[in-house]
Amino acid sequence: MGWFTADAQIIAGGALLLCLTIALETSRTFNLVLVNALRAAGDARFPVQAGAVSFALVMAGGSRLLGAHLGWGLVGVWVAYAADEWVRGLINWWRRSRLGWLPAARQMHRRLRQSAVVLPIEIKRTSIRENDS
Amino acid sequence: MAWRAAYVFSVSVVGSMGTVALATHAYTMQLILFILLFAATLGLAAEIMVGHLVGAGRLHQADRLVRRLLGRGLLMALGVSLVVALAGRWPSAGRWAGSPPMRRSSLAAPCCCA
Repeated sequence: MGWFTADAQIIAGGALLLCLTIALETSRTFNLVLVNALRAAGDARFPVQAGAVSFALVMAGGSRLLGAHLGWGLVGVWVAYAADEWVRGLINWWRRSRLGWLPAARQMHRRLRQSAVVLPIEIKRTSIRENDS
Repeated sequence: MAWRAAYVFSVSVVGSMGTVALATHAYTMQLILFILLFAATLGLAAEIMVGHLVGAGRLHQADRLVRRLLGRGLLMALGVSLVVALAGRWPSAGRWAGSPPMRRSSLAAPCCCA
């Protein structure tokens, strides 16, 4: 933090926030892996819906409540950030554990298998057309 | 989009706390973006590998992979953020001694004694 400024107040505040970052970044990593995995499995809608609710209530609402109303200041805003990540992470974990992603994954697999059957036919057609011309 | 809107709102809350809070928030975010690189990399790796396994119909294997990546990701994030948190404290001690208020007070002391 000392690279950016010599202001002792900012450095002390930044050091405190970096300690809170331990809770924030662990949850963010947890969440990023889960959301990306759910999306790759074809279950993209659920994380988006859960995220939209959590962003509005926990992140925006929490930072206002903890930071401004309760007077926790920057720490309150950071706690709201971490809480948002943990809430979304736990919701997505619940989705994964309850196998809510499975129907979407099966559907995607079926669709891929169908397209894999269609693809060689398409290739054959184009090669026939090329030979004709 | 929703994240950006919520983030802008939270920055406006920080802005209402004053310039020191806003500067602290901005500087800390710059450091956090470095930690985020690790998480984003792992997230992208998870997406590619899970997509590959789901495409191959190996759903149980995909589920096991997610669990394994979560464990490793948590350990990695814990390690990196601990290092950054400790590094954030380390130079601050030196800076406090060299910061303008401390320099002023250290300059003021001999004058008072004299």
